[in-house]
Amino acid sequence: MKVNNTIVISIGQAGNQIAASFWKTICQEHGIDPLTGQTAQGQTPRGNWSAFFTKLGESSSGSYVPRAVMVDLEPSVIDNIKATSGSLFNPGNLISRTEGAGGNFAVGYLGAGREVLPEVMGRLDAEIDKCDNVGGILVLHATGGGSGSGFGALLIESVKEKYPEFPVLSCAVLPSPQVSSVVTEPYNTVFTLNTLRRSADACLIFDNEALFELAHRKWNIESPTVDDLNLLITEALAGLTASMRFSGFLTVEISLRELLTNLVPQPSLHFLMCAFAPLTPPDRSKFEEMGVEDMIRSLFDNGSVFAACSPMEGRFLSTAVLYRGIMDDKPLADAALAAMREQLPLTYWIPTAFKIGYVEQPGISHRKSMVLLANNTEIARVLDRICHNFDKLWHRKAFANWYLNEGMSEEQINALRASAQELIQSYQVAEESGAKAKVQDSSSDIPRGSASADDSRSSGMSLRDLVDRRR
Amino acid sequence: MREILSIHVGQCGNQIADRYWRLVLREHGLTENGTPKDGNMSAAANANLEVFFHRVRDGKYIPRAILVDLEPGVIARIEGGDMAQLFDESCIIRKIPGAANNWARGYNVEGERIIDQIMNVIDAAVEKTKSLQGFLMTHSIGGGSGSGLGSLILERLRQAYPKKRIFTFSVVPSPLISDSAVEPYNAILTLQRILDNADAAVLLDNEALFRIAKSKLHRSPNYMDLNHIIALIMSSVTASLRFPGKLNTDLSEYVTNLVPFPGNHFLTASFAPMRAPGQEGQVRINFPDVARETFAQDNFTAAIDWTNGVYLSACALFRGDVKAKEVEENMAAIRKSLNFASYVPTGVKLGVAETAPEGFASSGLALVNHTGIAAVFERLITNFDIMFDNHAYTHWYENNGVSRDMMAHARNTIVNLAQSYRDAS
Repeated sequence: MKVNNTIVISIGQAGNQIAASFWKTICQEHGIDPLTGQTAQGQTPRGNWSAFFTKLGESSSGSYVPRAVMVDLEPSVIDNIKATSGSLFNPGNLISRTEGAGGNFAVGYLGAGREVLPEVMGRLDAEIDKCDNVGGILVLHATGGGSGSGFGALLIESVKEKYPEFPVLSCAVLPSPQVSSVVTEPYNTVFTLNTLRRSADACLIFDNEALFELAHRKWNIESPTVDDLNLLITEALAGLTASMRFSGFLTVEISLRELLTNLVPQPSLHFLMCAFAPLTPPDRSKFEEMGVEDMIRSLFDNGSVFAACSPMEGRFLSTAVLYRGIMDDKPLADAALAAMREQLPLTYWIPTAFKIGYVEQPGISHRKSMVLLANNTEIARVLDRICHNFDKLWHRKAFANWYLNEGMSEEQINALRASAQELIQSYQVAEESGAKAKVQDSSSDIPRGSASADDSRSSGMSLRDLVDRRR
Repeated sequence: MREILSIHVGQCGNQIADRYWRLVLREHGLTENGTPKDGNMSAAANANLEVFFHRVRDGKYIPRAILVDLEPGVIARIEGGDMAQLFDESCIIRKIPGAANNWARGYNVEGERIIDQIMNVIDAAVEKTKSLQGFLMTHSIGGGSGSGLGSLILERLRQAYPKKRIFTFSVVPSPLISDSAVEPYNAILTLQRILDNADAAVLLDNEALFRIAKSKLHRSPNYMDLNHIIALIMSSVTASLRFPGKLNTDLSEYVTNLVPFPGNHFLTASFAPMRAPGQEGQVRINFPDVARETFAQDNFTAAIDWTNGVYLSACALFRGDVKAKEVEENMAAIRKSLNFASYVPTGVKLGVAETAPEGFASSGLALVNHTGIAAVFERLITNFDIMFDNHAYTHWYENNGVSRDMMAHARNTIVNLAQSYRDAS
């Protein structure tokens, strides 16, 4: 049986910490020992294990190796992974350097990053050779630091240049002052956005600002740490990849390509947000189960989305709900989702973008769980927040010398800032064009034919302009 | 023997195959492995068995079926299930990665890679027949594999076998239970190929199926229920080909009876009595009720515009414990209530077959060509236009070799098709 193989590249401190916990979780889901890569009594792992693992050795004593490449420009996180993950990962795929990126995009993108790039691309080529069929490449990184932002951007560009036919999904952790470690985060993030916008096929945003609030309110943690936030991200990632990793009688498998086909209506509108339910604290999940209807309500609640914005006040361009767990209440879930769909602020020119996936195999910490993936215009508000912080720094050229010294020019920086603004605008245009027709619809029923045709053309024009401008 | 080859494409097409072959096996007294149950093969029931099966040495019957699925899931399940031994291993084409809901990927990218292999398998299966009459294809036209790869197979089949009949059972997406955002694009692009390359297409509209299932099953239906209805319809459509009878004994006769103008070959069907699986025998139903339910407007599997359309042609097949006289009497009354086009002379063609579907005492099937089917096309075009005018999702098609011009051309072709149905009213 041929499966879509997915390769996961993790970059920088946050990216690798998330990757470590992600791999541990999915090893458990597949019944693979996260320290040795072996299964109990040499059984075949559960599900479509070859989606994320390769097999080493023929007989029952063989082990399963994650299709992972882990990179950092400083050694501590990678060393820690080497020390704690036993013989799970291929040591050649754990790549680190000693100097670090110093929280500077330019170092990762122009300096030290360029030096490590050939080795990383070599390891990636080797992983691609091991695939029957590459279903996609996930890039886990944060945009606030230096490695994740600068080298992340460089790598995504290089991968897309060399393998244009493989979909690349960037899972980007956006910085928040609440859990910040680097003062130049707004710079790094804005610079990275340009690459994510132009080169990545889609970008899934994990906004630390929102995650901090979630961990604080729903998990009742007084002052959540990065580890807590990463746990939330891991839950979402495991749920989101479940439909690529398992098949079953009622399971609806969804490949990464299929997800993207449904979620990205135009090349420029590819910034996704996600939500996870139930948000029960991990230590209590065994005792407190949430009903499906409550889970669906929670998914679409403004307070539980993994981005600091209010999707119900924006406009949903496209939506995917991935449901995993025991299927006895599937009809109930279907009905609740259909009812929820009626209440959503949808975009009139995308009538049917509501994808539903099912996986029977439950997750590790919850018997039943759901992940929402949404392309929502409110993402503009998150990006706007980052740009606002950028402007405050850039207005005074604060900390700008670090970037100028590494070879970036003021013109370049202004262009990158403008690129982020265009991205925000394209979402604002989408929001307006989606709303305009709705007003039109309800107000004028009589001359419907001509009026709505005119309307769709005018909103279509503005969008077309945008597409042109992008080229 | 005039053999028919069934081709099942994509997830939906294979799920239907699973339900459909189960019903057919039972009707012919075969087990899930294709061997005769207790060895008691009734000669009458199986005189035409070779149309859909070919017999191998140990007395086992293998369906003349080809299973094609780009995604690994569904076929793996059929193989792993109780029908694991039924199908011919060499006729299963699997393991090709998915088309990602994208017609262009199914048609161009994945299709290009695998079409020669598929055609070789089809050619080999054709060589096992003495005098092939044609092909049946099941697929959904909203997804990626069934629509894109299905379209490519239709084109190649028409090229390779220009004289053979091609029937499709095509599941049409509905916005109510949509599976993907790009369904209208996939559906319109596929309909153009069905228009150009098939002799007849039975449209199975998810929206109508859903409504039927919901009203008859008294619970919220799932895809299995919808596929069960489709399988019942298919088994009744093919019943006249599988059992001895007088009406529609081959595919050509179907086409002659049902298609008045070239291109207007999109049909809709109705099956009665509709019951949940396993509850068929519980209610005994008299023949007038079966006949009435068969031609009840809300029992048809496409969202037809009944008020602004007319019947172009209709066939009915009643199976099981029914008497020819009863059929004539009841249908005379029903026929009067049907609104036929003024230029169509005779009305409903009637057939009777002795063998009812498994579990039913009697059943009815209507297969009709009604101009109100234009509503199905118009609904798809409306959604197509909203998205297309706003450049929504078109980049996925352009990236895979389907230009906006090609999409617009397909759209205009289907607009003309809908118009031709409206004009025929």
